[in-house]
Amino acid sequence: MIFSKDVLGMTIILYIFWLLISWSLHWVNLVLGFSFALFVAIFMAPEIITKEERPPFLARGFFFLRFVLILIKEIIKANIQVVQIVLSPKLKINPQFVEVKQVMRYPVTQVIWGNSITLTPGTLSIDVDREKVLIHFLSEELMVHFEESPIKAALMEFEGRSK
Amino acid sequence: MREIFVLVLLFTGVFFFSVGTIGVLRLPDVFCRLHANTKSDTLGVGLVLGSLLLYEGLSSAGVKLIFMIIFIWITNPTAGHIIARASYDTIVDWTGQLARQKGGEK
Repeated sequence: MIFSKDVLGMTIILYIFWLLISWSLHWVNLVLGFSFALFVAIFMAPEIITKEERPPFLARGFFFLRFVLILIKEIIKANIQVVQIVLSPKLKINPQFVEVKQVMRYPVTQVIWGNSITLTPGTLSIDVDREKVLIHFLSEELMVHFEESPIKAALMEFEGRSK
Repeated sequence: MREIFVLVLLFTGVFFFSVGTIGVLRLPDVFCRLHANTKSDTLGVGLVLGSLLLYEGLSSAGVKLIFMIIFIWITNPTAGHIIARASYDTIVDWTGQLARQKGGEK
């Protein structure tokens, strides 16, 4: 079946992207954009959207939105902390590597989790795989904050698990 | 009035950019430098492009600015992660700490 749900969804996403980027409602633009979106989706949807990358939570947009808001808050916190460290005359850092268990179940959330570790205060993800995450900490007291990071809770909720 | 907001956002973004650059120059090794760089560049790009978005409004350029913010926020930590992993695997080591820890592990 060529016109499956995946192809339809991908067509809609690509078409919206085309319309926003081109920003015109001329009929040539509409027709051309739709045909390109359909063409790309028919060929690429079976390649790109595999079963592993379409977990059951893709429809939970509300939780993802909340996760993004929490992430932005954490990024601002992380930046204030970076400003404090960088601009203080003595560099108060004690960097070290710590290996923690991978808490996310799906590849998509594992990638998001790896990227958000980099953006939370004082942590940098170095190696992410299915079992564990290798993290570089800037100083020790940040580890406590990392363990109860609100991002982790929000992302686990997005996966459909309670805290 | 809007210009004031735009200017404030713009200069906050520039401030975070400069802090990131100072951090790259001051911190001791590649991982600590990445700490400064990934975080402040992400917020700096968000603020600078956000101020341009506020100045421009929702037009054809404004929508492209939104997409730029989204894609840079996705790719910036990914690039930092790739640099960190590559340096970890090839033992780029300027302080001696990494070799100690890695020698214990592997």
